[in-house]
Amino acid sequence: MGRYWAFLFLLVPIAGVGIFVWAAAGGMWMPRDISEHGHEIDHLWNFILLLTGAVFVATEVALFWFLWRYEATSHRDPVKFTHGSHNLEVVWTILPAATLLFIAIYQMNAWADVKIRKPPMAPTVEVMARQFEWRLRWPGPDGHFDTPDDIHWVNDLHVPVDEDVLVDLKSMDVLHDFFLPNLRIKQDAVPGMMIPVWFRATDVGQYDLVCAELCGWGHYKMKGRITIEPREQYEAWLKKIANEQNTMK
Amino acid sequence: MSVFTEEKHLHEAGATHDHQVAAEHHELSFLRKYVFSLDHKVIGIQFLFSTLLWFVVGGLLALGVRWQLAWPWSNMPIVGQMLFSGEGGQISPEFYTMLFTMHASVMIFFVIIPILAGAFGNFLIPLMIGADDMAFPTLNMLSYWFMWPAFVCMIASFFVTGGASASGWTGYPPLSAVQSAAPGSHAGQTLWLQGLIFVGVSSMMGSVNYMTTIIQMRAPGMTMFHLPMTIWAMFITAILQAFALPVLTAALFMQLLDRVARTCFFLPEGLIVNNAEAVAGGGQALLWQHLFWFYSHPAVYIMILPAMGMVSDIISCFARKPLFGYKPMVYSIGGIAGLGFIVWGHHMFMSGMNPALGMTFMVSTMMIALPSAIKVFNWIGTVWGGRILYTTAMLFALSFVSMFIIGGLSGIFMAATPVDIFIHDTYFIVAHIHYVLFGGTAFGVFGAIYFWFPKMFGRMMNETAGKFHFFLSFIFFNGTFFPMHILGAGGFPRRLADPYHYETFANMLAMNRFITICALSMGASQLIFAANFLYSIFWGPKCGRNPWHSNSLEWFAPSPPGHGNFDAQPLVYRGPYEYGSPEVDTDYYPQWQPPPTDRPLVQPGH
Amino acid sequence: MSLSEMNMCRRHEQAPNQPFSLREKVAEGRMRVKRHRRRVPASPSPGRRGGDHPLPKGEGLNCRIRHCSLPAALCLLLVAGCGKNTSPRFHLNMQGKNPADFAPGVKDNEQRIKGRQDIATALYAMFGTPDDPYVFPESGLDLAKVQMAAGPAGGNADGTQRGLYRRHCVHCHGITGDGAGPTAQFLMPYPRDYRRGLYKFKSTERSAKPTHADLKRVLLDGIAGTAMPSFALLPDDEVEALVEYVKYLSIRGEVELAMGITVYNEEDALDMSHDGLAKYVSDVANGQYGWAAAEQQVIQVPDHPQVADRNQWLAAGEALFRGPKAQCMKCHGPTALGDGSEVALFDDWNKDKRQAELERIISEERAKGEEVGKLQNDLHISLHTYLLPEQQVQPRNLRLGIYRFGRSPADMYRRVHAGINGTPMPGGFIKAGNPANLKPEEIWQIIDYIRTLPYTGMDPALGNAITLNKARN
Repeated sequence: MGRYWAFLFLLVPIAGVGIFVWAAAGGMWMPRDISEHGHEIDHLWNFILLLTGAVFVATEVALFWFLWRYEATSHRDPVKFTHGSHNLEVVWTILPAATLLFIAIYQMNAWADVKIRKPPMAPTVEVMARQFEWRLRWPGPDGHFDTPDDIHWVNDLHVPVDEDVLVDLKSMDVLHDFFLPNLRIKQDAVPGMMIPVWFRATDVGQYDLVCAELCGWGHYKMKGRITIEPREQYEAWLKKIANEQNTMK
Repeated sequence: MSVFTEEKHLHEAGATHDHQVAAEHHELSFLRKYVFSLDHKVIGIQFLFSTLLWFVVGGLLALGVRWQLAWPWSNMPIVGQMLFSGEGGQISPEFYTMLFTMHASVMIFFVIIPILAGAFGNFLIPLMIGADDMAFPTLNMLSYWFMWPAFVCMIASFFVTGGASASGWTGYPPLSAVQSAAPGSHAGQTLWLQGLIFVGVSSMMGSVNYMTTIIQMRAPGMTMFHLPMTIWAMFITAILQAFALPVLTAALFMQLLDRVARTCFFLPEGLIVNNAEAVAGGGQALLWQHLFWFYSHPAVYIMILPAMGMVSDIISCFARKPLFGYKPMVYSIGGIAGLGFIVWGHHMFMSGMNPALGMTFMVSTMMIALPSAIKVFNWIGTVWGGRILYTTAMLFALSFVSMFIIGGLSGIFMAATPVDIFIHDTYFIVAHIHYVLFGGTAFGVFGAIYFWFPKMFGRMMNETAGKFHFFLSFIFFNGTFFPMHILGAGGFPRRLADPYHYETFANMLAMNRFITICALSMGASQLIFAANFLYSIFWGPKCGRNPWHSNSLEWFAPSPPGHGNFDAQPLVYRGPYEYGSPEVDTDYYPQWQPPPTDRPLVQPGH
Repeated sequence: MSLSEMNMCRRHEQAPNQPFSLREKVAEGRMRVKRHRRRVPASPSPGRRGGDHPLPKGEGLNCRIRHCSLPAALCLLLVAGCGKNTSPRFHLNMQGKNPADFAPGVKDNEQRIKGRQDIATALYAMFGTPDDPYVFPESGLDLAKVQMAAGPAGGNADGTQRGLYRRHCVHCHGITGDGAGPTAQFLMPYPRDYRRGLYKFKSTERSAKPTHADLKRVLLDGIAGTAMPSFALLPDDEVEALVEYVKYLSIRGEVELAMGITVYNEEDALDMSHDGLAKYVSDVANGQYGWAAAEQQVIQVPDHPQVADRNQWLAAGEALFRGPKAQCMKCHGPTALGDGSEVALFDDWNKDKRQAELERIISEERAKGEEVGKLQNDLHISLHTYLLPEQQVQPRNLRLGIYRFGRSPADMYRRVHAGINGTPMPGGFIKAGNPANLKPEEIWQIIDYIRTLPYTGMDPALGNAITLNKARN
């Protein structure tokens, strides 16, 4: 096959870019973002994708071209007897270093929004992860946990739309992970720790709550759901659950 | 014991006198020659065979994982019928967790690390630096035989109640440390820990040996900057290993004690796991993650640096051109090793670790991409303007570069902490690690096997079969792992036995089937390699000393090298990459060839 | 393990007149049943017919080998050519209510062996296979729903789900509903064994079956503090199908038990006529404590009385909790942490397990020599895999605020009123007119007291309740 082997390497950038374009166009892509902070993450994803995509195509095509151009039997040029180029080394050290440093600094704000700048508020709900379900607890009308009016529920996390929601994330047994794909939220639940998680949903509906940290044989079974609804509906629902829990009949 | 000392004596004698004569004087028994051998080449080949066998086991485990993801709960061929006939051959979910745990554990600890350091490190280091053996041959032999208790532990763990370890290859407590938390956390996890401790002992013995050998036993004229990249990579890997391993070993012992002596290093109080009796508590689950990744992130480089070194040598040889930027290549390996110690926290961005600390790790992680980028540019620079020969070894080495570009670039997504929020623990990570470790290291290792096979066995492998093997592996590898990026972009999580429960992921079944079909095909195409490898050992065409017209010292020795390696003391005159040098008529200029002029011989350091 | 695999293979090669191959005989028995005949169970004797139904071999004592491994499996690859069909089969109940009752062993004689064949044949005729279930109309089951839950996991072409039981339930509850799936042995408490028709969590009187709504609620909410997760997010029709399938497995198991009692305990021949078989189904489904009656046996919760002085009311509740009449403290402990019991407590599924007894049977079998050699090898494995090791039950820790099957006052009232069926938890209301009965207001007092426990402090000397050694989920 000789120099035609080079085409196998050309296939890499062509197919690589092709698959990404096909997937993005065909909906095999990030689930719909319904969070306030999510667009920053998606923007960063797209930015890094374009940047790395360009580097990917450039390096792979350069590799292909050299493989094609300098195959031994198909060209008669003498070998370029060189041990390297100091200038080139400097260029291709400084340029990526600057780019990487830029990405690093550029994203810090988004990270801080999701993980560091906790809104000053009382927790909306406590999520207690357990093999293999999500135990949910709302503080009830008095706003405090560990009182008789706490509202308990399993797997279906109801939160109000367009409001900051603060979740107290705990685990009862092993590590779990509170993953809301549509809200761009992911946080391990660690036994012995209470980790705050916050977000603000911008649209109503029901979305998946996934356990994303191996928690045992039933890890895949640990499926939850987040129901985002307007304030009135949310409160009505809480009331309904509270009534069910206090039913005397 | 007495035999060992005698052998050592023999070895010492060989170092100073004529090896041929010494070897003829002492005919070794079969057992001493091929089993409990002190010869680094035999030990290297023992490592190679063992790891290739484990490669088969690890590959089959992976196919089990793929089967479940493509046809969830359907009758798994062979295994399902044997172990789960009562349920109609559908595997149980804990069996699935065991499959992916053991796939990763086997591949990382029994294949990649020992095949690079154990097999190629052992075989190549003395030959490439012009030594007659390792500095500590007995230690070297022990480093191989200490793998066997580990093998036994791992195999035994499949047969104990609850099956082998099923808490992921990272073994995160409390899942791993509390017996009742998972079926695989019964005796299987204890055996897993013991196995890893033995692997660690073996690696440590190897590391000490490699460092000493490379520093002390180089041939006359072999300065540090005349070392081939393979040796540089092995050297730095050995240093990495020696510094990082004690931490892992300590962590493994702590988890072992948590399990058998209820010490609770990693267990907080108040755990209620599967209604088992509560533990005393007082520990921290995150502590394990810090300790584990303090080793296992450097270990990722332990798993790629030697392959980078070998690939550099192969590419330079078959481009018939000096390696572009030898010193930057060396420094970038050093840079990777140094930075490798301060990036472990990027595995823990979502773990509950202080998010501000996450920013620090993010910056150091971004920076570690830099030396990798420099290496890639230099490889491309090496290919530029050469006279490229497409041998199988070269094709694998080039595909290493091509695949490593993908694996390296996808790493930037994960280093970006906000993006990692979404892709952490998804198939994007799986794609990344397989592009680095399979597309990278494993392809590099295939290239190295094709390249050094003549030296190991004195015979050539079949090139046509090799190219078929390469072509199919390359196509199906990409078919298997490239779509995983797309799955990851969709948020598809790792380690779920049946992800299609979730509406978000239900539409990804078709792509998973495609991946599985590619994976099965990739597995099948390795049969070509197995046949070629085994056939060539016995019936391949015999080769001379230097079939590839390569420059480095191992090609100065006979193929295969006898006891004591070289039939004449090698003297080194130059670096290993003088291909196409205008000083000579041939397109290669071996390290051992005296200069054509009658300049007086200069032996640096002597 | 590999030994049994090889035995299994060897047996298939043997001549059919092998003296004691139960598996073969059961399979033969099934071969005789024509599929379409089974569908029209009007025939007086569905049992004996020329068989053309291509039933695969391999049933009865099932040698399941668990948690050994891939390498082991690979070693066995060579002997795998024995052509096992992988359609799962219901397993015969080899334990009965007492392990020694039904087991093939010392007691076996020609009649018992024939009886065992008859049971297998009859069950096949009445209930079909896990892939292809069937119900008698007397059972009151909805075949369409049962079929939706049965079969191998996967969807139909139109996207509707099938094989729900095997997708969601089988690893724990087992293909037969014996609560001994591959995962079961690692769970605490064990998954429910449906075959006895005994359920802990229900709204009905103690001996009654659970209502349809009760079973559905268990699926929707899960059972707090056990490995039973919530399936609330499945579509309603799928939950309905699963509930129906649980009933199906339960009725099948109970019919098998009843037939086993006829054959093994009473040593009678089984009436294999259609009516004879239908009667078994009908007894289970429509008897006094049958499935049909459950809806009428729901405990009616009386009104909560008006309380004038709440403190006094709660003090009365505490007195009852500690006092000799209700004796709650005896098991739940003075602090209600569930640590009061002096002796080990067992539920009905566990208390009959006598591993030593099983070992004895096996050793006696072994003494008989090679005539039964292969069988007892199978038996050995089957007993070990089916009978999970004995497991204690823990009285509930009442300070967690989480109670199995509901925390509403009404739920708790039913719990105290009827106790928990199959467990040592007694009912407060034993029999009408019994002086030991707790009066409704007394039950309410106890419940109101218990409901304050999670939020009131304990004696500080006891420290943090949750971390105490006996605290459970």
